[in-house]
Amino acid sequence: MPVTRNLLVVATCALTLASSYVALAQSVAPRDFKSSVQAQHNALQPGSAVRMNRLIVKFRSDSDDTAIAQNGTPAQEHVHALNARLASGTAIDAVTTLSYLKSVSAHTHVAQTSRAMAHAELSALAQTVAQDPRVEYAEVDERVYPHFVPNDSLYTAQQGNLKSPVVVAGGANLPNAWGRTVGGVPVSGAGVTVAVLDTGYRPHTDLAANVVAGYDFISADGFNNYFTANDGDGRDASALDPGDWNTQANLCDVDNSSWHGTHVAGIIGAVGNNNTGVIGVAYRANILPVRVLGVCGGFTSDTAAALQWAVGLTVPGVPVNPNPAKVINMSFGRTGSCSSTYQAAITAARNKGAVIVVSAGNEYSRTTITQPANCSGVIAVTAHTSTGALADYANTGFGTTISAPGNSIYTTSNTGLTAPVADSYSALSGTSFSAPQVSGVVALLMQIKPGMSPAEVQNHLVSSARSFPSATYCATRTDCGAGLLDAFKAVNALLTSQGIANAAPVLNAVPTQYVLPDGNLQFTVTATDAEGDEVSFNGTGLPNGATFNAITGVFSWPKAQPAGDYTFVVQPTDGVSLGASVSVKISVTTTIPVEPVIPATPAATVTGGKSGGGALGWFELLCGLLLALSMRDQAKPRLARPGFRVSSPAPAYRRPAP
Amino acid sequence: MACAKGAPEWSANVPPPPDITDLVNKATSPSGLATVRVIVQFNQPVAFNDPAFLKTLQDQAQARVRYIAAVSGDTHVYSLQLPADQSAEPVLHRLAALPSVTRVDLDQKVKAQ
Repeated sequence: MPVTRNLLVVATCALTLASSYVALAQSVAPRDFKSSVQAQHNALQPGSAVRMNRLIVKFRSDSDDTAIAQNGTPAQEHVHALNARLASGTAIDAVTTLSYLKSVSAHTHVAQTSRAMAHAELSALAQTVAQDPRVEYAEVDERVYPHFVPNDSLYTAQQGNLKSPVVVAGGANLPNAWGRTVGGVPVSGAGVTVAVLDTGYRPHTDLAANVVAGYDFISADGFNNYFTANDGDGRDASALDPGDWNTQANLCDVDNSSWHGTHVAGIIGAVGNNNTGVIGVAYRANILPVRVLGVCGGFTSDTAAALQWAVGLTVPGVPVNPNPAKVINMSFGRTGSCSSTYQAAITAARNKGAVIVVSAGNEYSRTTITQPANCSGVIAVTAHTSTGALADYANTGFGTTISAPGNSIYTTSNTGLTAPVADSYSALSGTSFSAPQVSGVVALLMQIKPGMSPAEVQNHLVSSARSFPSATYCATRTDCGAGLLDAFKAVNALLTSQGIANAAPVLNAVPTQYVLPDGNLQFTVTATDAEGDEVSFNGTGLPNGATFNAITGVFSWPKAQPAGDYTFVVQPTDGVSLGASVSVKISVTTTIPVEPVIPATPAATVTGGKSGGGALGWFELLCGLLLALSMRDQAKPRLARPGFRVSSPAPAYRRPAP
Repeated sequence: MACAKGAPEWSANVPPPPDITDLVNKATSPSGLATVRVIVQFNQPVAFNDPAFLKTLQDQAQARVRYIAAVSGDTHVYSLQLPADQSAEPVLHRLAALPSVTRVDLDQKVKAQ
């Protein structure tokens, strides 16, 4: 039967071609001891205490193991033979031996060392092994890490403010920052204490685990008057928020309780990756709640006192803070120039090494920001929308440092209209909620480099900020601050300054794409990233009528025309490093070639990176001819592969263009 | 009305800042007295909440003074009880005239943003 004959031919060719492609790919592999990607990834843990014991060793194709059996016996012998070189005195030590663990491909095997070693030591051993004339290259079998996607149930749908700018233009770009580790611990603010000077907190189930003992700094309004405090007393050890609802219109706006402090605290430090609710920017940071705002706000004096106490300074009448903070968030303010009280407190706190982050205010001002944001020595934060444009309400002016997302920031809250009732989540807008995103990123930086000075932190934030989108109000102005907060760029800049480089993503090869005129072509480009970063794509040379999704990598051309050859260039990026661009050849033609029944072919041309091309051999040509002959009898149309249909009469088949 | 020795003369031509009037009015009690909070920074160690020292401040301010809380080691908060129709600014000037005082500011409220 024709179909059976086709299947047999296809199967035979497929098996043989698969083998020859593996050999072909290996024969063009660079002899480099380490690829650049791996070399950069190695640098990720220069001082790491993690010990490793695996090497990948590729033997030369002429090294007498071309007939390696599936049981790996010849491979075992080859690996064991390397021990002679190790024992010759050039190895790290004479007692380390290698044993065969498994095979990657015909000539490439994983060897296991007899003892676990530090990365640098294992790298040196790989260099020794690579000197063996039978070895083409040897390298450390690096760990790769999955892209970090928080499993918090509301993250995907509600926390667009934290996403990468490819997903949300104004996003703070947290995912790839969270994907990094420091000493084996995820970059998450772990070990850093962030003080939240606000209305206090509710012990929300998605927050409480990160809260450390704080303090209530709201003192009496006057003679036994605790209107502002709303808890019947003055300063005390409970930073719980009793509610800040107000019913007296002559004092301030009548309103329900805001749960402002719980919201700000959640933005910074809601527990992350716990399958629940939301994730905080610094989801493993310690949150130090300091209650300073009550009904109709809070007093300058109490906030200034709280600031100094939070960093560990002495405030008479208050016990010493056992959890001094290195990051202070103050999402409040009032009009006027910086008061002496604020400036004195800020200077004192900064001299203790604390980074002070303050919201710029919501008065729609384009000339002035509120105090204490306008004080010297603070990071003043304005707000932008999801598109990156300045939020209309957000103040800007002299002293503004940076902008962060401020619209519909979703996090922890409470259902109570007056007194607290039950945990909830809500979305609020304002510079109050942009500032804590900056505070969270500062905590990430402080985790990476605990001794950072406030000036150093600010430099990293400013230099890593993304530009305001063109044609928006802030695009050409300096009084909106340095730009949009970018957590990944800030984290990466700091890691780089620490000698920990970032590996650029590598686009996986894409074969030449064929489509009939007016046919539908769809394919997906993918990339590999050593750190498991979320990768997006830049595409250029898009044919008329085609679309390309920079996030998913899906190219779609519903009605490909006119006939001809096209080159679509794709470049992967993890947000800080661009990978090598790849030219994808697209042919709109009535002459559809035989589709190779093999793994991904190296037909795409890689520029700027490793070579990936290679000519097809005589056997492939023969297989193509056999397939063409065997299918010549079939007159019925068939679906060659998803995306395009081969119509009758059957086209002549030709070898894919190299 | 007796003024403390050395207190500066207050010019009636200078209107009080809007914030001050606002605050005084807001804190008015049914008794017709208004309460304001002031931040006082001292330039030397003082018994900031000692009754005798409070008496000194009270005499200088010509208003009832109570200690509220500390801001830092040298800066403290006091409440003053004033007639509701009286500006607070002259009182601030009188307190600022004390040799031990570096500055006196109204303790204004901030709000969540």
